[in-house]
Amino acid sequence: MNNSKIKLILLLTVASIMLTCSASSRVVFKGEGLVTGEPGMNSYPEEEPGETALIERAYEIAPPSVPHAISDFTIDRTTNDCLECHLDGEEFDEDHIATKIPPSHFTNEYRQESVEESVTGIRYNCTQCHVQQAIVDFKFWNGSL
Amino acid sequence: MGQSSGVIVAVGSAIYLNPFEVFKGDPEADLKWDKAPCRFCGTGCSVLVGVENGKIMAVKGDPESSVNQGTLCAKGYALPFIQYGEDRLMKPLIRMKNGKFDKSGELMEATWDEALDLIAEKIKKTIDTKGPQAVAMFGSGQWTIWEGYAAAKLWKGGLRSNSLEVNARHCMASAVAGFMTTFGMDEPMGSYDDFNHADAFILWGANVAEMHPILHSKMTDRLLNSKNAKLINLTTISNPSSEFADKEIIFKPQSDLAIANGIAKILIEEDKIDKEFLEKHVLLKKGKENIGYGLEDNFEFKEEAELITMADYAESVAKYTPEYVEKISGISKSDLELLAEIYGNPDTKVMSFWTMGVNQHTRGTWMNNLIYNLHLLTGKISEPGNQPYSLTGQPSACGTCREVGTFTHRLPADMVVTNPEHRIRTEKIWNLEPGTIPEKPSYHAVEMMKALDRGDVDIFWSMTANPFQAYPNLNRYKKGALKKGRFIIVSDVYPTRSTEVADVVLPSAMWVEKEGSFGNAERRTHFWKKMVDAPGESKSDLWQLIEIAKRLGHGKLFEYSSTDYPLPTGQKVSDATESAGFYMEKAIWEEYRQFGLGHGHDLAPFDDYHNSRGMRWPVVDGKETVIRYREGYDPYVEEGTDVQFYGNKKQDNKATIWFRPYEPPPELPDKEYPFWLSTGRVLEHWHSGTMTRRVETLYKAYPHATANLHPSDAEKAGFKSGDKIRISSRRGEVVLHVEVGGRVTPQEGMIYVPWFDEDVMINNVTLDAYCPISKQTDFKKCAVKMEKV
Repeated sequence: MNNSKIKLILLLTVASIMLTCSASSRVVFKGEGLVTGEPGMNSYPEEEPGETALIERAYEIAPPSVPHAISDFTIDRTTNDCLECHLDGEEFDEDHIATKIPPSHFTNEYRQESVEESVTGIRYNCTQCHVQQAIVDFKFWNGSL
Repeated sequence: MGQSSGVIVAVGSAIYLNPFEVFKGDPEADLKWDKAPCRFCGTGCSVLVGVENGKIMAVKGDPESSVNQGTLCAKGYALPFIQYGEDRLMKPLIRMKNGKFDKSGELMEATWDEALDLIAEKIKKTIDTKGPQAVAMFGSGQWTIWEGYAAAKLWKGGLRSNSLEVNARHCMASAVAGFMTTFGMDEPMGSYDDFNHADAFILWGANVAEMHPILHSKMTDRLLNSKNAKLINLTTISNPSSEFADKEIIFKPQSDLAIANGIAKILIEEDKIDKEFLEKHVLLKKGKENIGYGLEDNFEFKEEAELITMADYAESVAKYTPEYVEKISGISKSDLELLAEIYGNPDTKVMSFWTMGVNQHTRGTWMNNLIYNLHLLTGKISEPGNQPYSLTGQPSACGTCREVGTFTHRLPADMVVTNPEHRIRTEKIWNLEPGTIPEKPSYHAVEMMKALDRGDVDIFWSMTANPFQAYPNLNRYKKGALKKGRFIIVSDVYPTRSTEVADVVLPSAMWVEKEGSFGNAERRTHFWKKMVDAPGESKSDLWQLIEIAKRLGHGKLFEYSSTDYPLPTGQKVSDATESAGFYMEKAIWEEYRQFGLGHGHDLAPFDDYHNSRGMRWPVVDGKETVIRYREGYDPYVEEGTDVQFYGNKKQDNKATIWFRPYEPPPELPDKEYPFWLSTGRVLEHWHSGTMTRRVETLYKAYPHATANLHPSDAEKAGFKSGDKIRISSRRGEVVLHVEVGGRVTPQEGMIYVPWFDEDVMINNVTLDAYCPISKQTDFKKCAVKMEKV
């Protein structure tokens, strides 16, 4: 689904919400949930690391989302491409600095273990928490309508 | 723009918070923290929840939890948002025309009294005309333990209806049937502590990296820290669980049956079996063959088991030569030998893992038996690092569905309605007249929907589930629900595909809006307290069940002593407790606990769970059990016996090795429908996406369900990523976009479609065949075709 189509849906949605709300004080519930009536396609940013701005975190201590392409990245037993830049907070230029991995990732409080060269084993799968964000509008659900 | 224009209508008039307001304060200083289990998968991670001014502002992985050791997955970190979608259901709704209930009317706001009175009236009328079995309750492993217990007590002990089922039937019924037939007792013998001792992890059709991310991380941790440790991903779809694997082995759908038998054959032939263990702890049996697929209404199955000798068993598996296995499965002789070497090497500690690939299988019970066979043949069971490990999907599939027994045939603590002693024991604890609980199971989940379509069931109440997105072959069942005379009640937190067909919608409180209890996949029971108020007029499912019980004259089932269970102090009080005037959750717990005491299902007193990060049952003298059936670990194992599978007391505490053959699935790709279809989940979305698709980070991480194709299938069909196609089966069709080279790549000839997306109703296409023993549906195999739209 392209962006203009999404915008059209949003517009119609806003209009329909306003209409329904003003039409009756007793709310009629259509029960259509998240249905838009159209299947969608997922497309993710293609910019390389160092080319993108940070994505605002959902809350202060939420794991940051990945703003750049990672489709070619390898995370396996011998290689972790994420660590290349994020271990030390690589500076691409003054506006583009890789988010440095925080101390929490180098210690396992439960097991009272610390590591230095890499992150702890249980946090090694970066993408299980740090997810990409597709190019798609979400304003529909954002309460600010 | 398709079928809907007014996509969402604001519900209720309460002023509600903006869910995407970013908390900028100091988490430690400004927030009040309390512990709770995550409300998503069966891993059962512990989270710390940060609350400010009655709102959840943040969560973090609980560093004191042995499960997740301070971390979470993407879904876990999204927990602060799941309550706060702007279309949260706030008031009861009744389908009405001219101010009166009318099945062809529209859902209109109503009061709780109006909604509950209507439901009570309908239930009474149905019981009078069609009998209690025509009144059905459908819950899930997302019920808290006391909610599942209240539903079981009300249905079986109050209404005298065994029409109680859960979506867990579609999820782990084969696991239960596997445990019961092999060990006579449900749930894994090991725990997550075993990860740190294993030398090899074998995944049997389980994409753990996406479905149980923290367990995958525990494996990763072991693989990084023990250089010789191995991971083998045995799968029908190339997936992210292979990233750390030494070997990804792709097999044809259904052929896991042949592979497991092929491994057993090699183990026996190469004398890699543990004869002493087998002699002391194992019996061998064979059961009925050609058992069918449950496709016809009113299907019934009866096992015919007979004892066999080791020689009989060896002769039965002898047919599964590497050549024969390769022909059926497509896996090479060397891969089969690699697996046999891992299982057979006495120095290699092996953990086998499985979930939906094995359980959602028309021979799901057999596949569970076959994996246990490998561990029993080699004696690699019930010791650190040597465990067959059945994983569960939902946060309390174990704690609620399995342990409480919220299935048509079950009662708490592994008891069944068909056993007169079990009924008497239950009636005694529930203080009921003897003979109250009906002795005949009524409808298992699929049959329940068929009964609704036929008119044998008139009332269908869904709680913590979304059956009209989750069931297979939905075209039939949705039509059934809409028929005149059917009355559908949906308790939920958001509008869903199920509220679309509902006659009454009840707004539920969720997660930390109530006091709760879950049981995870390592027998860990864990509790949480209410932390925030539920929005609008929403109420917990426990409150809803008790209120309907009162209206049906069964209020006494939930009357307990306020002297024994005084209101709790220093904490938020749940709606059920507030209405009752005594500590309802504690009263129910202490009653429920009586079922398990003294026979291996022991649960601890109520307060112990609030004061810990949970405990693994049996909890005896305040001590949890990390490994069952092994002397020195399990207090139920008698001294000097080493191992006792005491679920099978009647067969001298021995486990059973079952010979189970390969049998083909009911529907195979053919000329007209040349592709396999498999469905499943993705990391970011929980089940039908009701909660996770309302969270910005998760929605954007994986917005839509697509059809994942093998590159050569896409090329042959002339499709490229982004093309819009129609997938159809003999039962229905769905339109969606093609994805090639995405996160997963199915084998040639197979299409993978996740089912979380309300705009891609893949379950209109799937087949409602099930395992005749467990009655669990097979969502992984049916025949489809695809064409460009």
